[in-house]
Parts: sequence; C-alpha cells; structure tokens
Amino acid sequence: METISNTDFDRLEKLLKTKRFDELDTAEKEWVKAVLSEAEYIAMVPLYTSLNNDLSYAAIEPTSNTKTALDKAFAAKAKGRGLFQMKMPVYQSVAAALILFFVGFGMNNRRNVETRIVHDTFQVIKYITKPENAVKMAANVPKHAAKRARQLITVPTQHVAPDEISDKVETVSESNPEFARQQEIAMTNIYRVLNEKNGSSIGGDTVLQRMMVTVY
Amino acid sequence: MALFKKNYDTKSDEELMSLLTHGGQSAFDELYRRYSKPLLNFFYRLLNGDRQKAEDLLQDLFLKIIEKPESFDGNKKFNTWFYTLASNMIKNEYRSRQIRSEHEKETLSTSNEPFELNSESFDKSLFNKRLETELDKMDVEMRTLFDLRFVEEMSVKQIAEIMDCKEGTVKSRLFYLTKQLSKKLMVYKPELN
Repeated sequence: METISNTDFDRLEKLLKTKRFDELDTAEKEWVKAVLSEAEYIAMVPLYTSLNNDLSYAAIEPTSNTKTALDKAFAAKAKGRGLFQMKMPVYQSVAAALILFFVGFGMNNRRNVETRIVHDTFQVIKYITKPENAVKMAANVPKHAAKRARQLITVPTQHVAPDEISDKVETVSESNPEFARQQEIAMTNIYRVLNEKNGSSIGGDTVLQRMMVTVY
Repeated sequence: MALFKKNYDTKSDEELMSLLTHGGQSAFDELYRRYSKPLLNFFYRLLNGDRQKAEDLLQDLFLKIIEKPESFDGNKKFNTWFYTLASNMIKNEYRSRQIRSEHEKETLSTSNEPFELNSESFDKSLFNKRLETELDKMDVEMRTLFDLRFVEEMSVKQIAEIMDCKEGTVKSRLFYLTKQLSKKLMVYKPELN
C-alpha cells in the first residue's frame, strides 16, 4: 500500500477540496506531481467536491414499518421496567440492609429495658370508725382497673369467724393472683383486729390503722 | 403543559442517550429522526442497494439502543459510537452472506463493458455509476472507509475511532483508496491518458 505522511495528506486534501488542477499555482503543481500524477489529481477532485449529493444510492427514506416495530419494542421494554426491574447500585442495597438491621436491633433492645409494673388495682380503707359501716375495698379504683377486678367486702359488726366471712366476699374477678393474695392478707388482718376490738372505735389506734392499710 | 415539555431537538445526541437510558420515548424518537435516514442510506449503499436488508439492519441497530442503552460509552461521541455499531453490522453481514463474492459474479460481465464516452460527453451520472461499480469491487473495509469519508463526511479522527485504528493508518488507506479509484475513473477523461 502506498503511504503518505500525515502533513502531505492534509495538504493534498485541502487542495483537492478547494482547487482544480488548472487553478493550482506553479509551486503547488510541482508539489502535487511529486505525490501523484495530474490525471490522478483531476480524477480525485470530484470525490472531494460533489460526491455526497451525486451518488445514485443516496436519499431513500425508512418505511413506517420500521418505526412501528421499534415503537412496539420500546413499549415492551418500558412495560418490563417495573419497580422490581429497576437497577439499584450495590451501595444503596447495602445501605438499605444496614438501616433495616439497626432499626431491628434498636427495637429489640427497647423490649429488654426493665419496665416498672404498676398494679392496676389498689385498696383503700376509708374508715372503720363505725363497725356497722362496710369496709369498702377498691373504692377509688379507676374504671379500667375496675373492669379487671372489683371487690366489695362487707365487714360484720359482730365477731365472725373468717370462714363465715369468706362467703360474703364477692369476687368479681380473680384473674390476678397477686391481687388475690394481697386481698387475702388484708382480710386476715381486718378480721383479726375486729375480733380483738369488737364494738369499740379504732380511730385512734395507729397500730391498727397501719395494719389495716395496704399500699401497693 | 407546554412549559414542562422538553425541547428535544436542541439536545445533544449524548443528552438524548442519557434520557433514553431512563426510558424516554421522546428521546428515542428524536434520535431516530436524526439518524434513521443517514444510516439507512449507509446500509443501503454498502449492501449494494439491497433495500430490504438495509431496513432490517437499521431496525436491528435501533433495537440495540432500546435494549441496551447503557452500553453507550459516554467517553465517545454518540455519532462515532453509532457508526461503529453500524459498520460492525455491515462486516458481519458481509461475512455471513458472502455478499462480496456473489456480487462480484453479478458484476463481472458489466465491469468489462466499454464506455462510449469522451471528454465532451462526460456524464456525471455515468461517472457515479462507474464509481459505484468500482466501489462494489472493494473489500468491506475500504468500502466502509470510502463511505464514512466521502458520503458521511466524517473527520479522519472519527473514522479512526470507528475503524479502531490510528489516524495515520486512515490517511494512508484513504490515499491508497483515492489513488486506486482515480486510476479507474480516468477513463472518463480520455485526454488525460
């Protein structure tokens, strides 16, 4: 294959694009003849000047069928480009996994935090100044606590054995075993005091009061 | 809504490809509008006027950017990259169908026909016909080189990228190609012989 230097090629192309052979000056003609013949130069000129518009193959238009087929292919591709087909960078996947991990870890730790259990029932003995009055337990129990356990205790004025009293205790709910135990202790205390002080006021007896009040 | 409508015809090919990667139908339409005709004619010429095959290759070429728009190398100009794909398709077509040998058999008889021309009756259309005949005899590399340079009017640098060779090689090939052609085409200027 015949070779030509880069600079010679560029110069030759420039001349071929701009000048016919008879338009070249003497120096240019001399230079051209050193590279190729006059006839070759003349035959090359049309390639560089008017070829683009002259070839008989030029200028056909694509048919509409081609575009229609491509539009269908595009629509099919777009249809498949759903949420789960979307490409996600690896770092985003890793970040999402880490976030999920730490959120789960945090939730798990929160469950292990020690919580204070607040009992939903408590007992208040208002007064036992009059033996004929009943000792009402859970008088101020809130509604939601009352739903769980409600208890009404009638305290007799006369000496009564604990066995007999127990029949008069109406237990609505015994679902809370702790509550039941506390209730049993309280009742035992009440009956013991009543048996000892039967018929007299216990308002001034602090020891008795201390025994009568149970605080949860 | 016109306020939000993107003006695609002012966007560069590379911007359109970026939009196409994210599923922009309008970007695809604009690229098709810009390149369908030149590329169809590119295929048409290199396939010696086989229009049906040219249409098929055009469709296959655009399917490539629909299916895998991310394969576009952003470091290259779109024009160069697209023509690289097209020229590779042409090479494959030449290989698979051996179109060259078939066509040579067809043109063997016509290439020896005498031309009843003289300098006065120099006919441009016949010149072009003869040129096409000479081009058809060339191998696919030279044929593609000629088309990219003289029909698509690409720079030597672009052609070097498309054909994956050095600029100096392109220039040497072009010089050889044009010199060979000029020898064949001198017959139209008898007074020069």
